[in-house]
Amino acid sequence: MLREDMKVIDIVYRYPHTEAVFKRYDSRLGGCVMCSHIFDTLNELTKRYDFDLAQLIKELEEAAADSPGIIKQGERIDASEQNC
Amino acid sequence: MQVNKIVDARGLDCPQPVILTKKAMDEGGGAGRLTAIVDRDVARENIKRLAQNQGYDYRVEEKDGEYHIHMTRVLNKEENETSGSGRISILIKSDLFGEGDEELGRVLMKGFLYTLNELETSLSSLIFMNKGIFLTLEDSPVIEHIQTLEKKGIEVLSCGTCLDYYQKTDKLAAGRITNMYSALETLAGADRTITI
Repeated sequence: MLREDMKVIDIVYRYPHTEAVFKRYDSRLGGCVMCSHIFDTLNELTKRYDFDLAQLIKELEEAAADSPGIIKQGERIDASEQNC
Repeated sequence: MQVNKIVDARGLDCPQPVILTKKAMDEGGGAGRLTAIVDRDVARENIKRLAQNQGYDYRVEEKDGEYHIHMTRVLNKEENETSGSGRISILIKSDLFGEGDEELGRVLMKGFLYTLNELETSLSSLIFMNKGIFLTLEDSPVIEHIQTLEKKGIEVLSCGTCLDYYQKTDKLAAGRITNMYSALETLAGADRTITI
């Protein structure tokens, strides 16, 4: 569902519960992920700090499944739709 | 008359100011005017970047330690065809201007960037790819011209993969690092593009 080329902002925007996942990573990088990297893709973020991309996506997808989300009915998440 | 939407994000932690602003942009159908009020530097910077990414012109007003970011949607391509204006994005793929003699290429590139500073244009972004990234490094002969353009509000983007490849990331002296995704997004969002 989530892809490595999706940006932090788009994930948090569509799945608000994923915010908590990114906050968990704050301590690991010694700063605020969503302050400094909100426009980064997951791939960029994990490469920069040597996080496990697959693990991060897994955690985000679990949180996304619980998110109320603002995605419209019938809309698909695809990197080509990302617009910021 | 266009309605000016207000997003009051004072006292909110990241990423709420930028998320609320994006929501207001989307609810407005990408049209109209919008003002975001924040009280943190990081929120101000992220909203400025969001505005750029979403095709808004913006102006920041500081009031008693708070920032009012006034954003106006830039006309779309069709609208601009009638007005004759529009945002220009320049893609620079080399540290030389054109092919041929290298020394001449360096002189022409210097002249090109100097002239960009002198002209009144709708330039919104400069994107440096491949050997073009050498122009944004601290020892670049044109770094002052690029820094001046950046101070005027022009977005300066250098390819992160290229900086890594040439092992020059720590020498970057203007703008910020970008990736192909964001670079293409910026180019696609521009009304006109020029490739050097």
